[in-house]
Amino acid sequence: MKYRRLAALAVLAAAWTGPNRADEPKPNKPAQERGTAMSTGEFEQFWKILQLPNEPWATVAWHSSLTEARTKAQKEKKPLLIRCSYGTLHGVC
Amino acid sequence: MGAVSFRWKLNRDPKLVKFIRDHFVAAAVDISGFQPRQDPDGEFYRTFRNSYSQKIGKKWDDQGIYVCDTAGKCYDMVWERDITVDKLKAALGDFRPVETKIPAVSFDTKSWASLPEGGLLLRVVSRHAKAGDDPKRFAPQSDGGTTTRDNLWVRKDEAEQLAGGQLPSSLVDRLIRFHLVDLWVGSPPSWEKDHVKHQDIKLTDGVLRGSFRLERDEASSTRSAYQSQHGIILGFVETKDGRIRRLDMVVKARQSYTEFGKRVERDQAWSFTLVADPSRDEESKLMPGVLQDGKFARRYADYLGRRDK
Repeated sequence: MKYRRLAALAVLAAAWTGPNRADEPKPNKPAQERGTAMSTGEFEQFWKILQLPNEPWATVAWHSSLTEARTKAQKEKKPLLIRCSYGTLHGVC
Repeated sequence: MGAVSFRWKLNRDPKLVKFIRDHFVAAAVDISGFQPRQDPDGEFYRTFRNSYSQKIGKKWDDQGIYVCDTAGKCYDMVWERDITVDKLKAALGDFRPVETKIPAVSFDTKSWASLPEGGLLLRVVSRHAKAGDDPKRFAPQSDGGTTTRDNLWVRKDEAEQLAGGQLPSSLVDRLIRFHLVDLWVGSPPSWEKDHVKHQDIKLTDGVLRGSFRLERDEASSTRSAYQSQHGIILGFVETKDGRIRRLDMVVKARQSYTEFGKRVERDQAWSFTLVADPSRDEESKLMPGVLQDGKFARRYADYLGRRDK
């Protein structure tokens, strides 16, 4: 009976400390210390996911050179539409 | 409105995209990068901005979609969030094409550069996600999610070394310090040389493999300048007739930074793909992201590994 009580206390103690341990940040070992390396299968998975989808906005030829855009606009007798922002349309916000 | 939101807005409105394609010649410029330029692009930028300021009767130098003619007369400006076919039709007003003398393309080399002659260009696509193990976390989202694009430049001499089976240390340095950043959160700082605590990346029989660890002071850690990053890389290099035909890489990394006093971890993954002919698309004309946004003068020589430039 005494041993059962001790076992129950041990279970309660483990349950009590469990969440605290889980909240702590896990050891953040660098990849080389963990001995991990990317497999070819993983490469292919990431590769597929990280390809650019065909997006409608990209069907517009967004010129990065205003001089080139002006030359084309003059040739085609079209107005210019210039997006001005902090960052580029293609990458930076 | 940021680039991701604007792209998403266009993606949801195919009629608007078609209208832009059919009726305009489009350009996209970064204000910080164009303001200091002393070249034909910089001069034209100031011309149409001044034209709009005159039109509204006050100095104006803000974000927006500007409709102009080739002489720099600005017809109107439309906010990105408001852009529609009708708004653009109204902005066009009484547009009439004009004939004006346009100078030859030339760049202010203090603020702009193009792909080094004979060099290679890799298209970089990246997304970040919650820390975890499943690659599906990085799947594209309908709104574009955290996708960013970038260009990595490889110098001609580096391309030649790669074709000969050697991995130039300058290229590894550039990859790690200037491209393993998160462009989505704004204008990230590049990693300094002393932030590279470990890197062991090797090219053996056409397979590029290795790991790295980067750290900067916790005091300067932010969401865009995260404190540390460690990860692994796998890539493939193929040559034919002494020229690089394939140079594809994937990098995945775990990052940590402090936000509101709490340590946060997240993952980021990048793909690097050789662009066969960079002259064929506009995106390849863009400088690497860390050189844009007004930081060109400070970073260009370091980026190319040429302190004397």
